[in-house]
Amino acid sequence: MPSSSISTAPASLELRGLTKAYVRGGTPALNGVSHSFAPGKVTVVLGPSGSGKSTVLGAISGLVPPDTGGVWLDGRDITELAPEKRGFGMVFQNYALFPHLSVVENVEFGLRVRGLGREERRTQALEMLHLTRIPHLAGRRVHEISGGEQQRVAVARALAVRPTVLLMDEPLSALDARLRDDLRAELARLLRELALTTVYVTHDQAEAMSLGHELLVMQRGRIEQAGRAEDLYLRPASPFVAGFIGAANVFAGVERLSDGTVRLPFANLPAESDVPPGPCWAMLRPESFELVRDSGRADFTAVPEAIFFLGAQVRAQLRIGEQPLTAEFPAGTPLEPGRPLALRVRPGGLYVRAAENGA
Amino acid sequence: MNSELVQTAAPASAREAAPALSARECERSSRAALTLRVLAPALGAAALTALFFALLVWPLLCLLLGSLREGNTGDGAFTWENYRTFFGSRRMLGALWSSVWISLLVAFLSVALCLGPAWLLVRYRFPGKRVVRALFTLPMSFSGILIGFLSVIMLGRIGAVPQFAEWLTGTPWLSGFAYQLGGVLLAYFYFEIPRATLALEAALRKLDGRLESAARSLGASSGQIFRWVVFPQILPALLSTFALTFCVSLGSFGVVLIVSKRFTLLPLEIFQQIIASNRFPLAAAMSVVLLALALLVTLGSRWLVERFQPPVPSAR
Repeated sequence: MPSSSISTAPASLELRGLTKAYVRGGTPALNGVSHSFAPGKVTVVLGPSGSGKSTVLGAISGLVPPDTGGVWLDGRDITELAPEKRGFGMVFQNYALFPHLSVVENVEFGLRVRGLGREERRTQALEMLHLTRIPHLAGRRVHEISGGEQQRVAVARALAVRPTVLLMDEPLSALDARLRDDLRAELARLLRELALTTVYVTHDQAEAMSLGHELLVMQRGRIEQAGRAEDLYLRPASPFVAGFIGAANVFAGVERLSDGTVRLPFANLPAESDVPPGPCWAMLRPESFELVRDSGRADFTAVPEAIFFLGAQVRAQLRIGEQPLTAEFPAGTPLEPGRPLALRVRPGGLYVRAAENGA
Repeated sequence: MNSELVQTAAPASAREAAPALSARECERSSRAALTLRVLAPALGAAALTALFFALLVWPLLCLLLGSLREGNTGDGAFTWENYRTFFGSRRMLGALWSSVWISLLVAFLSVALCLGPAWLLVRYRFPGKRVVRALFTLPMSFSGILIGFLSVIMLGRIGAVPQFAEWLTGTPWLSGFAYQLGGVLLAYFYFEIPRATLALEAALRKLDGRLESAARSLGASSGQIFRWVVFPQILPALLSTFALTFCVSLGSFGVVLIVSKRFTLLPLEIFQQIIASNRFPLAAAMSVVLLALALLVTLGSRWLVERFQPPVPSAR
């Protein structure tokens, strides 16, 4: 297998109406999932635990056969194709490295399976270890190296088979926070260079936003919204997405009045939106508030209950009567617990969407 | 420090006495705790060592010394005669040889044939699983005598199986099979099924199924997964189960006592020397040989296990 095979056109992967229930008649893990993945890009599947995101990955890898629906690769239905015949690379959550093999033997495994000669597979495996920057660990046993190093071995092992599609199941979640940030940046660089069609599952929205070309937010076995991180942040399709991507104050079951304002529990606020009058839901991001000196120009008055210093920002847990609210201000803003603040919502700060069924 | 503080704060002599006393008491009790902490484990270790000598070293030493003496009284002169008798007797050497290869064969059969059922019990859910597990493990509580007797009842000259076969086909198939080599092997194997199954089941339970998924995702077929992922990981368990079943078969005696028409095995020969011939020193020498053999296989398998033991995966 020449290394040039990696430069062939990236694979196009498509899911068509996948459903899956682990227990017959039980709650479906997948409930009609369709998506066309961007070739050569990283798509992050994001959702809380139990949302079905790992099942999506299982269906793509073939390890979890769907009940109905199909997986298509470059226009070919591969739903029935055995996982070992798909030629995908997979990085597991706890790496699943072979404990009886050395680091380089782990990376060689997929090449050995393909019948490559000893020297050729050793050369290619070392190349992969260079790519993930751990060639010096080649001869070590898996249990002798750190978690971060194990993660690099798992990535090298998945890439060694020159996969057409790379699947990653929470590859950073087993690491501590500091290491996770470092590895995330490096992984982002590597994935960009490889330009492989990659499906990356995580429950960490910061990870998703920094790695994903496109994000799929899942909940209860469905894709709630698909799009670029910015779209999801600025224009969430549902209160769930609004709350899941970034911090947000979400108000479900509110109403837009005929004068164009939205009646929130604590104030009527103007909204720039073409949502017709009637039931709707609304969102205020923490950064959409500003302090006003002149209380006559304020939209409402709130009392800070707790204040957290975040570096460039200060986060305040506010209360307006019974209504809690999270707001962020530039560092240095004079805030004091218990001292009322006159606040205004920045123009365009209130996001409104018409209520859907059940929203 | 505590008593100092109390003394300066409370000059009244009546109040002074009480805390000072409690401080001294406190010191005494902490000394008692220290004594307990150091002495108790030491005493425990001494007791265990004594027990080890009483239960293991002493009897084995007596056995070994007994095998090197003349006569039955235990105070005879030193001699190698018992070992010479043993290794000079064609019958006894034959019994030793039969014991070794029958035990090896049974151990091999047990590991090979119980791996499948153990795998089934660990990896699959199916109706009646509890019944199947009971079937495979209940014979653990059967004594060798019982299994030998069952073998005779089922596969003896007028056993249930030949009778049934005669009714069915007109020929009493398997009549007297219990007394043939195949029958003895079958009875021994039956004896080992629960032991091998339980030992293998415990080992398979520790296998991480995700490793197999990982191998599959890398393109490995089921055969390659077994050869390159599962087998290397369960090899230590296979070896130790082999050693366990070998030693159990080697020492087992109940089965062959019942079906030993054409056969004699070493434990049975020892039994004969003790009960029938009253030749204790010879029986002791034979026991030492039996023991040495079991020890050799156990230590050998332990050594192999340590060589092949895959390192414990990191907890992360």
